[in-house]
Order: sequence, then structure tokens, then C-alpha cells
Amino acid sequence: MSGGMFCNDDLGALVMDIGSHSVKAGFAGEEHPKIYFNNVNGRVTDKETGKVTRIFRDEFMNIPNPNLEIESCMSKGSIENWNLFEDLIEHILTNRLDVEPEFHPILFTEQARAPPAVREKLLEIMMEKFKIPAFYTAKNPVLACYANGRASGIVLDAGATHTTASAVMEGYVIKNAIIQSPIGGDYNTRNALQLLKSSEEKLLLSYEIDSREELKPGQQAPIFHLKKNLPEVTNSWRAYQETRLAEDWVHQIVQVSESDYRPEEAAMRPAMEYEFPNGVSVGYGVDRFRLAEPLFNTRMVDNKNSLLGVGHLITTSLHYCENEIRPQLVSSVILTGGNCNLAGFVDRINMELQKTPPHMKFKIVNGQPGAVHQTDRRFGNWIGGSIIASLPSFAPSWVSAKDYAESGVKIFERKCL
Amino acid sequence: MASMSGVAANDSCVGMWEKLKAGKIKSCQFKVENKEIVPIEESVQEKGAPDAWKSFTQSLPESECRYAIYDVAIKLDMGPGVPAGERTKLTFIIWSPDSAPIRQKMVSASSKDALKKKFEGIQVEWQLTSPEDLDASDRISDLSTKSDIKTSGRGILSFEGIAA
Repeated sequence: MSGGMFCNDDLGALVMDIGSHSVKAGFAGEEHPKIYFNNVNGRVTDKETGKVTRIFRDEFMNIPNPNLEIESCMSKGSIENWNLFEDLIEHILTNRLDVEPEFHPILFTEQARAPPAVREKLLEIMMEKFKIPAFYTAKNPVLACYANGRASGIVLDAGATHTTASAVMEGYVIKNAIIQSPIGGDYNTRNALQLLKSSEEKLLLSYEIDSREELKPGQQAPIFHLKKNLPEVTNSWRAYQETRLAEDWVHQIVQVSESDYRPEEAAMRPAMEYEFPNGVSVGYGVDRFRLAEPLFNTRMVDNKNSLLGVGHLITTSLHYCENEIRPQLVSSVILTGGNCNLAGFVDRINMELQKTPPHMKFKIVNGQPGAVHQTDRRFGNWIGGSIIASLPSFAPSWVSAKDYAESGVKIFERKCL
Repeated sequence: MASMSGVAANDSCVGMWEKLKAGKIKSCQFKVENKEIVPIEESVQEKGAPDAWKSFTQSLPESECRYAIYDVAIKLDMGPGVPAGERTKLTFIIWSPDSAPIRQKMVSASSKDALKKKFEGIQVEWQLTSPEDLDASDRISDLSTKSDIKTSGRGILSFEGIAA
């Protein structure tokens, strides 16, 4: 095992952040997760024997195969299929990290709102099936706070399935101040895909392209050749490939408008070109700015006014906290989650927070580039877990196999609070 | 549970706090060393030292986390013809500069409680992260929002001898 940059008394602890979009896992004490991959897997059913095989490696998942379905153990941000989840953990431990679970304590990150039943089930599986020596779960917002040097603050977690604001006071999540919106990264991806599919041309994916010819001077449209004799693929497989393309499109093209989105203004701004797998480039103008706007301005998509935009998530969370602690919270707004990496996201939050009354001087702690680097926001929760789990002084906090043998899931009444 | 990090505060920290409360010292810094929070003896400022706030802030390391206690002195405007009201605030400071390593910030934040619990009678708590936060003007605007200061005078005249 690699030593890690901070390890002293090395327990060989592992840290896992299993999100609905991606899995981050690695060794405690390291700066970045050793492995990072989309939280999906392939399921191949043998037509003759009916035997089901699950595959987790990207390189196999991208080969068109008529018997390959794509599935995920998570749905809407929580674990739905526990058998599949066990397979995923098994895959991470044996194939990716190459460790024997009996020798490695594991810290799992946990959503602010995760129900106790989930962590109880998780503890049971890890102890009974994987026989790990010690277990811990830490709440995402607390980890994000600590990793930014704060014990208190408002954490905005812009994730795939939800965007969540939570208030953390002295290392504890204030339960009734967790405010959530179902508009997140997945929502953007779905809309992007819809937009891409609405074009007259059929959306071609890279697996369908055999070759592209070099553009000659003066030539307008690129010439490409389609692959022949491609196997019929499953709907879930095609949908997965389309989603990957849409995600890439969002990453390259989408720009959060610095102020409230106005179509007239957006139309004045230069378009940006996206090159599709077949070599065709398409320019996007207004759509670039319109796509992410519902994150901030929910009225665009919700006429019942039941959803909150990012700015309101933060201020509402604050309003559910007691008056005395508010000043401490407003000066520590912390951003985490992959969706924060959208171009212009941070500037827009800053703008939204200026709309609040002047006595609330919101300050984003990791808003400047350089403070906590952009890529760190995607791994923010994992890094927090990595540091905590590697502290020699943290050792007594683990739920040990002995604790579990004595008290079962009741141990949570005393640990992992 | 001591703190999430498991770091504990050495008993000598309380001694420093008692000295501060008794008015024997002006300030003291603390740091985490080998699973323990300990006072930094050479950081102690004696009562009555000139430009105490300035030398205190200058002695905070640029990219290392510290805890500190400080006996803040302020003068309040009590209205025309009335002498300025003198107040002191026993202040607990968490210094966690943005440029400190993430690991140190993490330890500092998750261990803070262990130290804070030992200090009975903290009146003000500051989480400070940048040189701007250390500006007297910034501290004054923070103190001005405290309810007892809002109600007992007409605003702050000076902070640590620095005019508002």
C-alpha cells in the first residue's frame, strides 16, 4: 500500500464516497481518491444459459453488445439495489484497490439527510459480509466544512440528483435546516440531451462512427463513414452512451449567466461550437446560457413556485437556524459537489447572495480559484473523509468489529453521531 | 466524545485561560502538536504591551492554523458629555488561513471543540481566515453586531486603542 502523504500510525483505512453519479474511493491520508468512475455497471445475460454477469470496468461497458444492459445500484440519490451495491463494493475492494477487506477500516461519506436505516444496513453488510475491522460514517456537509477549516458554516452541495444547502454548527448538521432541490447535474444533462436530440439530424455516437476524413480547404461539411454491421444494442446501453455525450456537452458548452438570464442579452453573446463524434460542429448561443438557469431561477421550469433556486436554498437554510448563530454561518458559505464546476457557477452564487439584505454579509469561503481548487470540489467530501480517517487521534472514534459484535447497530447511539 | 478528530486539549491550556480572565495576560496562542492542543509559551503577550493587536496579528503565521485567546478592549460612545464606556471581551479566536494545508485546517476545525469546552466564559468567538479579517475595521464591524454592544452605547469609538 502506498504510504500516503500524511500518514503517521498507519491503519490502512479506506475512504469511500459513493454518489449517484460517481464512485470515489481510495486510501485515507492521500490527497485524491485512487479510483473515480461513473456509478453504473453492465449486466450481461447469456442468451442460452440465462447466466447473468455484472461488469464494472468502463472499457467493457463501452463495447456495443446486444446482451449488455446498463444499470446502477443507486436511484434518486439513495441505494436502491443492495445486492448490486455489495457487488460494487466487492469490485472496488478486490479489483480496483486490490486489498483484503479484513485488514482495512472503512469510512463512508453520507448525505446530510441519509436515514439511519441506510447506515445500519451498510454497517451490517460491511461487518457480516466483508468482515472489516472498523467502520465509520461521516456526514458530507461536516466533512466539507472541516476541509475548509470551519466547524460551522452553510454548505451548498451541488450534486447530481439534488442541490442541497445545510447548516453545520460546531461539527453537527442542524437537521431542520437541510434544504433540498431536485434540480442538479442530472437535470441539466437530461435537458441537454433533449436539446441535442431535437436537432433534425440523428444524434450519432462515437461507437457508430467508423472513420472521418480530413477537412480540405474550402470544404464545409465534414465527411464521415458509419460503422457497418453494428449489433443491435439495448435501450439502457444506448441511453448511457447518450448521457455521457450530453455530459461532455454540458461540461464544454454550458455557461451560467452572471446575472438573471435574459434571452435578448444571451443572444448578443458569441456562440460556442461543439464538435460531435462525426466531426460536425454546431454553434450554441442562447442555449448555452439558458440550460443551467433553472438551477438559479426555478420559475423557468416550475410554475407552482414550489422549488427553490440555489440562492434561496442558502438563505432558507439560514432562516431555519437560530438568530444568534446566523452571523457565524453567513461568513462561511462552503461549496462542494461536481456541479459547482459549471462555468460561471461561483460568480452567479456571489451575485445571488448580494440580493439578500445588507446585514447578511454572505461570504463564500472557497469561492476564489486557488483557495480550494476546482477539482477539489468534486472530491471535497472524499478529501475531508481521507484526512479525518488518517488522523492517529481519530482511532478511538471507529466502530470496531468488537463494538458491532456487542451492540449491533445500536452502537450508533454512541458513535458516528 | 472529545472531538471528531480525537485531539484533546492539554490541561495547561486552562491555566492560560485563567490568567487571561484574571487580567494577568493580554493574549496567548495555541497549536496542535502530537494529538494535543498546547499553549505556545513564547506567544504570550503581557498586559499593557503597546500596539498589542498589531503585534498579535503580525505574529500569526501566514499559512499555519492557530487558536488564540485575546482580551479585547473597546471604547463605546456613551453620548455627548459622557465619558467613553470601556468594555473588554474575552475572545476565542480560530486562525485558519486559506493558504494553510487542508489537513491542518481539517484538524484545526475538528479539534476546536475540545479546546473551547475548557474555556468557561468565552464572550466572543472569531473564525478568521485572511489578513483582511484581522483588520481593526473588520473586527469593529463584527463587534458592532453583538446585541450587548448595540444596546449599551452609540457605537464603538475605538478597538484596542485603534480609532474606529
